[in-house]
Amino acid sequence: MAADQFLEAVRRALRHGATQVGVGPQPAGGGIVALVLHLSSLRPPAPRPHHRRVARVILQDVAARHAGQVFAFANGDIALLCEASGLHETGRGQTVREASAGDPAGLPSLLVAALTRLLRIDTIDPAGLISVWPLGTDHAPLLAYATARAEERVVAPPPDDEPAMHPGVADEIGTLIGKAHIHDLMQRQTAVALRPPRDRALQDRAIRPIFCEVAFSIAALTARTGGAHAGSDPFLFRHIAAQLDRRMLDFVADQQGLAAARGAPPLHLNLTLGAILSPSFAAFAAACRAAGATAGVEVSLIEASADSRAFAAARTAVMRAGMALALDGVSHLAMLLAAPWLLETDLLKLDWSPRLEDLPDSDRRDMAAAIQATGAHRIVLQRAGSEAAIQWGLALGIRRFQGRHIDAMLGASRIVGCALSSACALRQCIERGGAIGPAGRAGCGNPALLDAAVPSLAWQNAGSPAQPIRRPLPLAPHLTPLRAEAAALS
Amino acid sequence: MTMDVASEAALFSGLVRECAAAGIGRCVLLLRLSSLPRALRRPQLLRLARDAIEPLAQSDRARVFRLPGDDLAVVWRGDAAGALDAAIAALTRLIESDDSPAVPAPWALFRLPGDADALLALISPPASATTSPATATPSGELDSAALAALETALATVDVSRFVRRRGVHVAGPDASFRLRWERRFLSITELSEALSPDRAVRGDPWLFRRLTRTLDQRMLALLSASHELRDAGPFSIGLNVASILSPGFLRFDAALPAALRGHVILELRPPDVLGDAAAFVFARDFARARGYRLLLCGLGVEFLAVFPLDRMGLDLVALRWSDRLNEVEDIGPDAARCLLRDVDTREALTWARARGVGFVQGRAIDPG
Repeated sequence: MAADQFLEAVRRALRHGATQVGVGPQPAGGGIVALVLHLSSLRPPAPRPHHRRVARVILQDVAARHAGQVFAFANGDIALLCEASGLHETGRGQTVREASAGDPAGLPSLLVAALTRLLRIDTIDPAGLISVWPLGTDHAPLLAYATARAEERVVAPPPDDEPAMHPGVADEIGTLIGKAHIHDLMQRQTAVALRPPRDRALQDRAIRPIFCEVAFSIAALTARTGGAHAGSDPFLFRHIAAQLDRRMLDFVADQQGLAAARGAPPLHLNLTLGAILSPSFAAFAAACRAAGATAGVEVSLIEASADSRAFAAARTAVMRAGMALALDGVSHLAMLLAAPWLLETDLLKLDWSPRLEDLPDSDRRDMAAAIQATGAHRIVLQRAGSEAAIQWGLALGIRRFQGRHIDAMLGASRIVGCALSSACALRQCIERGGAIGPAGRAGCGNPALLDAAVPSLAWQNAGSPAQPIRRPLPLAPHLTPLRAEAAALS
Repeated sequence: MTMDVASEAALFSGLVRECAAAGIGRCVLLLRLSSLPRALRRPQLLRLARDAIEPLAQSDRARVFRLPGDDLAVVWRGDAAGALDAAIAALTRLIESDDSPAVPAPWALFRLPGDADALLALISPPASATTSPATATPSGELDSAALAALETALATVDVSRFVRRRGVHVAGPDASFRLRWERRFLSITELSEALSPDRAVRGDPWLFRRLTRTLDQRMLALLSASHELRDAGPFSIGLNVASILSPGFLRFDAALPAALRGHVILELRPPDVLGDAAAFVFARDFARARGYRLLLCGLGVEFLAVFPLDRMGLDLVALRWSDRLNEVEDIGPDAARCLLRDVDTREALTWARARGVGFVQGRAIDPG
């Protein structure tokens, strides 16, 4: 629709000697210019609805002042067709320098500058997303573009808004974790330390497990809540996390197999601040001590940033429990915008993003400085799903990794060492290695090896999920002081 | 239908009297959150405290009563030393922290029937508090079902009567203050009393953050009305990143009188900024290109260094006054761009002046 109108408007302008857009009152003189913003070329998750919405407003603003028109195409691109003269004025009383010599129509330098500045967060080459085609000169590329849009058959236009997660999903998940076998909703993943050959003696292992993270599987929760993505609303998800982690703490602390974790790499649990400050955490810490198992705690940066006092108290509680604290979910943008290393956690889990491979130079320098400020030895590069992630990390001195690429490396080493491996594909071994419940591990003939790199909890003994933990605790030493305080209060 | 706090309190004192009269043996843990210093009374404290006493609530014949002022009482039968120990340990962790002086424990244990008189003396409030519905505190926290209902209700209600303004002042060299801008916000207390009287809307901080997105839209719609900002001076509003990128904000931006452009401040919060950092950077650059200034609020003083303004690309930062700020000698290079809120006392004002704080807001400057 918009594409047909655009093609027609371009043709009409060309018929009129490229001096009229064809809509509204036309000032005499000056050429017509087309500006196309190729939002469809952005790498997912962009372009998001807000990219289109905001870009459209900016272009419409210009169109209103320059007798122009804006066209939003079904592929997500947006075009502006308007009078070229005077476009170097911003319309807000500001003017910018005249267009450069390479900008033949005296073009919209401020407009292009504004758009490139806005889009630099989403692409390394924002200028490459913008085509400026003055109609008076070579109009073949413009006509080709307009024709391509008009001939394009797009099944569904891009959504105007990201689907909002309904609060009811939180209730559904709450009900779900009360009912389901909790181990079917959880997964585990091993983080490792890698030693490149130059760092190690011949007898050292190149890959060494450092901890095993146990977490609720967003995919499993999403699959059971009618497809509403359980992690799509960060606020609602934090609320859900608070429900999940109490259950997880009770579940893990109650596993008889915790004793078997002695000497294995620590278990890492992702917890909310409220859970760390709750009796469930104290019970979990006591169970670990009793079993001689080591454990660590992960707190997300979002969670930490919401309440500095609770974070400080939780950090103290984790430290007193003799556990390591990891700051989880630190995006590379968080490293560039804030100083998360000042939260002084033992580890900082940096999310790998393909964007890290092609950061602008200034961001690349800032990122290196942030890693140095953190200490590369404290960083775990997580979501490392490719060789590129590992290479990027190693080049910056990072030695700790977690993610699907590591899962594959561990899976491959199991396959090599397993007498029964002819029955399994590598992908199956990887998936079973990440499963906690018996359903996800079914088919493996060598479960001991499946658990060899990770603490082997006796998951298969997990009973009904609704049982609260009941273990003997020492008699209350607080009773006497309490009586005194009661007297003081009254 | 949930019982209100006044009824629960009455039921609780009735039970205590009954135990005393009939010689029934019960234990009571009285948790007086209302006695804690204000700085420790975080919005989610009640929820955390309820979680902490959960082991006790599972004891024999156990029952939890809510009392006015966010106080709680747990009654149970027999010996529950293990559960009591776990609850006390958890409560201790809740109120202790490294950076504040120790406070007296706000709980006490009573054994009925012997301690009934002492307990009744503590919990008998002034007559009006138990009878007037106006003083009843919310009886339950916001849960996701109540949140959904509230979001629906907010879509249609006229929120203009809940809008409040507070002056933000800049300190002059001669101990005088000049009004610099007004902070416009919706009174959450009044709004929740009107729309959701039996729910503490701030009880769950994350559900409340989610609710603010709906509140943002209502505020933006209100400010986009043609007459609303005709004579307005500089002002600030709190928004989520997603709200800045929403059609509601774009309408507000289009309706903003030319004279106000460059004089509006948008307030953002760290969890929201970090929750979708790419959207934040996009929204930040868009807002700044449109002449808005950006303020980071909702962070404790210990996080000032974690969120440096220049690195974040923000203009201002806001802190809330609390006694523990007295121990902070230096708030770093961003002091002149810092706004101190809740400046209600001379002590707070003196602190702000001594640290070179650029902007202040509170009753010590603006009694209204």
